[in-house]
Formats: sequence, C-alpha cells, structure tokens
Amino acid sequence: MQQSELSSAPKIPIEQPRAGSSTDPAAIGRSLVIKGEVTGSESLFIDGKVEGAINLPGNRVTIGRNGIVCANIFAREILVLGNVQGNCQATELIDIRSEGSLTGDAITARISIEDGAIFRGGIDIRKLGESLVPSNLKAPGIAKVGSPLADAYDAQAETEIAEGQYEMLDDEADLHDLLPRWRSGTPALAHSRSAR
Amino acid sequence: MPPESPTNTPRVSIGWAPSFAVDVSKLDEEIGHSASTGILTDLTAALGALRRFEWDEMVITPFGHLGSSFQYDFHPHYVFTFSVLTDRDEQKKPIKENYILKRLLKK
Repeated sequence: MQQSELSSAPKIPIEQPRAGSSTDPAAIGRSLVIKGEVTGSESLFIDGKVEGAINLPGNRVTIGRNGIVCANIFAREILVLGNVQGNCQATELIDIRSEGSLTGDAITARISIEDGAIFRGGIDIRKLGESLVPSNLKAPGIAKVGSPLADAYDAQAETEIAEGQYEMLDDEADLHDLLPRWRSGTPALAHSRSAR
Repeated sequence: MPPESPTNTPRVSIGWAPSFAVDVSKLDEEIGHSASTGILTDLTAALGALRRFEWDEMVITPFGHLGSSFQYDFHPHYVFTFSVLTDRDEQKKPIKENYILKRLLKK
C-alpha cells in the first residue's frame, strides 16, 4: 500500500492561493513572518511563519510545505503539510500529510495521519458538532475569568457565533424581555444578519 | 479600543449565543433564582449602556485572542463577554453594531 492512515477520514483538498481570485484562501507567503494573533472569517493558507494564535472558527487553515507555525490553531479544518508546534482544535477534521509535522494535542471530530507524517501529542476525538471544551475541563458551574475553562468556553461560544447559532433581540424590545428568553432555554436558530 | 461608531444614526443590536443562556441557567442553579435575577438586572442595565453606544473603557476591556471580543465588568463578582459584529453598507461604512453575548464569568 502506498500510504496508510490512522483513520478513514477524508482528505482535505490542497488549495493553493492564486492571485486575483476572491474565492481563494488568504495567504501568508513564504517570506512573511507574523507574530501575534490571526483572526477572521475566511480560510487561510500559511507558507510563511506564524507565532502566536490562529483563530478561524468555521474556516480552513492550511499549513503549506514551507509553513512553520508556533501557535495554537482553532478552525473548522486544519491541513498540515508543513511544521506545526501547538495544540490544534478542529470542529471537523485535522489532516496531517506525509510531509507534515504536528507537535501538540489534537482535538477534532476526525483525523487523518498519512504514512510518514510526524505527530507528537495526544488525540481527543469528539463527535461532529460536539463541544470542543476538553472533557477534563468540564465543570457544572460558571467559569472563572482567566481560567483554562473560561478560555475553552469562550472558544465554544465563538464557534456558535461563527456558525450563526445566536439570537438577536428586536431593536425596539425592552431589555428586561431578555431574562425570560434566556431562561426559556429555547435553542437558537441559525441566524444571519442583513448586512456585513 | 471601542469598535467604529456607525455613521449618522448609531444603531446597536443585542444578541446572545446559546452558551450565554446556559450560563444564565448555571447562575440560577448556583445562587438561586432571586439572587440571580438581581445580577441579571445589573447586566441588562449594562446592556442598556451598550445600546446607547456608551463605551466605558473603565469597565469594557479586550478579552482573549480575538480583536472583536470584549469583557464587560458589570458586577462586583461577575463579568460577561461579548463579540462585536459590524454590519456595513456597500461603501463598507459601518451601519450597525451587533453585540453578541458569549459567556457569563466569575471574577
């Protein structure tokens, strides 16, 4: 067999960015170095170096063959062809190709590790759509500011918002109407705003 | 840094993620419905200030990794976090700010 995989998870197609097309992922070129936090609402191709944090819930992050990432990554899909040092959380799929290297923990619904790929870390497989809050951090109470639980909970809420799972109060409504609505437990429907 | 003020007629809409409603339920369970209502009344007063586009940097500070995420210190023992989503017109000018509540957290 040419290659073996840890699971039967489908592979993520490699999308090389091309200039001039609005549908291609944003790209960090080979000579670029970014230190800080990368956030947004579109997919990203990294062929340069990123240190910090990458938060693109609902989107794909591709670390190209020349890419070097020293950051925790939170995205819908993470494709690793380069080098990643950091924890990866994907709501759908982490795909590490033969030339790729991931040092860090992976929390995801599905994972594919191609023969020859380097992976050092733990794997926490969640059901598709299940919360990415690490099970060892779950607690019945309200989280405390600055705790790992608060950070994980916040990421969970960000995912909900990115997926449109939030409700809006009518602009003319009394704010006191909020309390019974919060307490009603009515699940939020997918929401889309009129303009962005 | 506060979000861009929408031009002409500032409009602010308030929303919430399911996670926030979960935290409200947790608050009810932890301290009881009556005490919880007092805290949530303080919270709605804070939302009233946000609706009036009052951005007090003494109580509103950046939260986490996202540049659009903030923490509102509305109570001696609790804060809430929220994300700012901006609606823009065809000229990319902001026309509306959507403040989406994310979590209720203890100090």
